[in-house]
Amino acid sequence: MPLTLSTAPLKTLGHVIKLNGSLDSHTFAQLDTELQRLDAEASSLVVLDLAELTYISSAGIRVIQKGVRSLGKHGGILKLFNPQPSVAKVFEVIKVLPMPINQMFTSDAELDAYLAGIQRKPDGPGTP
Amino acid sequence: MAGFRHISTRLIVWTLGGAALALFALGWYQQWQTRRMVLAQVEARAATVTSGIKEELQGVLRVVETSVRLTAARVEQGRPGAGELDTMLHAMLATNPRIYGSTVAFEPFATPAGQEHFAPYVFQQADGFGHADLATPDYAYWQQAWYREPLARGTAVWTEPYFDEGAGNVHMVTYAQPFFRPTSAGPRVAGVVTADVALGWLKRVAESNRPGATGFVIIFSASGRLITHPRTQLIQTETLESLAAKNQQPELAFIGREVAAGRSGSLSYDSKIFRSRIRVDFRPVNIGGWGVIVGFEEQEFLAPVGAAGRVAFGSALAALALLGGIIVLVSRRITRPLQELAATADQIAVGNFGVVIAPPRTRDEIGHLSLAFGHMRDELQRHIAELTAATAARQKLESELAIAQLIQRTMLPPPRHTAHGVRTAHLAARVVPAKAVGGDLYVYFPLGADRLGFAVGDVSDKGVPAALFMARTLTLLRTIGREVGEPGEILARVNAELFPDNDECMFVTLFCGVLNLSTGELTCASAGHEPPFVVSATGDWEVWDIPSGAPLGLAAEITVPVSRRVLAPGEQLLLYTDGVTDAANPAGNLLTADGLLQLLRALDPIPPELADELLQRVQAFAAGADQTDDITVFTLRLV
Repeated sequence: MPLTLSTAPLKTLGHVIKLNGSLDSHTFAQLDTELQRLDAEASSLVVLDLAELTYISSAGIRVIQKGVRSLGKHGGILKLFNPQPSVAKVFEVIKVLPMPINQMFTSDAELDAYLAGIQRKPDGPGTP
Repeated sequence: MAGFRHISTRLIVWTLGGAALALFALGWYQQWQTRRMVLAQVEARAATVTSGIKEELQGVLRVVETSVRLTAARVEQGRPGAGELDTMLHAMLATNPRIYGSTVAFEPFATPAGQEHFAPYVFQQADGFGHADLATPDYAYWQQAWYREPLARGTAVWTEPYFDEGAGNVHMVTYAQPFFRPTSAGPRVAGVVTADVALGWLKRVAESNRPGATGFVIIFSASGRLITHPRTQLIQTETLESLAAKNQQPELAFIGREVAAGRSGSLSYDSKIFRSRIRVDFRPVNIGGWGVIVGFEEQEFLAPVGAAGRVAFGSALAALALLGGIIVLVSRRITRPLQELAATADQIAVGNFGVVIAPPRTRDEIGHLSLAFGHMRDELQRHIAELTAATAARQKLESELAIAQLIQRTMLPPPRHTAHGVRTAHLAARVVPAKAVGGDLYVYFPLGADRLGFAVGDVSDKGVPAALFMARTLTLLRTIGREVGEPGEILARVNAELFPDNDECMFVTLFCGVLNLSTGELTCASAGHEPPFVVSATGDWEVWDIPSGAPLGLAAEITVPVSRRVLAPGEQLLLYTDGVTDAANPAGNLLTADGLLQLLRALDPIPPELADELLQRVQAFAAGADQTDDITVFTLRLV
């Protein structure tokens, strides 16, 4: 099953990548390339919109976790948004991935407040 | 036109066919036009001849008519005696040699001498003039048509031609004019003056005016009787009507009617008398009701046209043959390079790339083809070389992978193991990678005399990167497992080794357990791995859904919860990787954990070789569909 990606700016700070299809060993390289591109642009927040993602394999997990780590190196954050139940269950088993959020940021202020909140927490992203 | 095996054949057929068609159409048209022109010319000539004959006849006959009229006037006015009449008749014949004979025939008792009948007749003889009196009882001129007809009609008439037996034994016609004498009751007819015209001279007129060798002249009388005709036996005996009836030649009757109506014209028809197609011109003479027909056989004038046409046809054939020869030469010049290229192509087809392609002789399409062909040969050669190199590289890679597969297989412990203690534990494992090498692993190791450690794992993704990460994990498990001997701690330590510098975020899910062979106590920890199944001695299956920690390699430090249970004799633990539950059938449906449980519950009784049997069932479910992930089945049975 193929994967289609569409990236859109999120407010002034970040990007939303909408994933549609299956993120597996055949398609993970697409997301990997896109995340590396945004990382190179020093995007401070990347949200993966998973509403249309039907399947995720371990290769998909790996590429997301790789994104979390590479963005984190310069203070960027990767968030997962609105996964389908089957995908959400995989994230629960893996545990190390950032917990999915269920609401998209509607304003820069809201986003700023969220980012400030995360940075105050001692454990930060990437820890259950 | 698949039938043509040579371009030259096609060229010849089309070009020559077209040229022949054009030439022959043109030739036919010219022939037709020439025939039309020739016939029109000859017809015009015939019309001229007809007109000439008509004029000549008119001239002669008018003179005769005038002479007779003058004589009649003199007889009326002068009441001449017999001697005087003789003189008058001599004079008429002397001045008009066309008149064969002439008479003045009197009505009864209107004669100069008072006798009942008198008709002095003077006629031409070889040595002068002959004399006769037609008032003989044998001849009885008063009963002859030439005498009675003009009297009856009261005007001059030309008689029909007749054969005169008494007078000159020749064909002749007679012009007869009545003359009158005044009486108390007004002018009364007193006799007839005649002039006989022999028709022999008409034959000469006809002969001398024939148009061409086959030409003919026919002169006919008012009743259509033939006066001259090339078939002399028909003269006098036949009329146009009778000839038309005898020969089924309605054209003759038509001509007779037209001339009688005073019309002239021309006609072309197949004559049965001349046995040929003839063309005639006819017109009335205007005197005596006569008519003239001048005709000729069309063939006489068309024959030269036909001959010229045959010469033209022969020339056209010669020209076509020449054209054909030129086409053959030109097409051979064109196709020779093509044949050479075809031969070269055959050489290249069998792999002979060194074959020499002759440089193009021309700069036309053939030349282009030749150049393009050379280019294609070079490209093909280069492409094949690349393909050969690529194939060699792939073969090398494949053989390397095959070796890697062997090495990976030897890294795993033997698939069967029996550990003896107070109890005996039987281990069985089956690993089927999706590619040559995979990321699934299992391992077991003794811990002292009565404990057995084991682990089943699945590295993220598959293929060579997964295999390398698997090898590292396997080595770590072997060393750390024996050293630590406690599942939760083993996994935490292995994670701590895997995490640093793992920029690619490879990770491994692991199930690690330690079995006490004395007590049957099982201590287990799961790092994100699928929960195992446990089957009782009586064949009841359950999912042992123990709490799980994060997979190894992603976080710097992790803690993995530890679970315990006692394995009773006859109970069996079954571990697997997600390649089993993610196995897909050709329709694309996954087996799923529920499907796996159903499949296991269908096994009754539990087969002794559970791992082998389960693998077969899973492969039966996939039914030949591509295996997308590495599959591992691991069983631990306590007896």
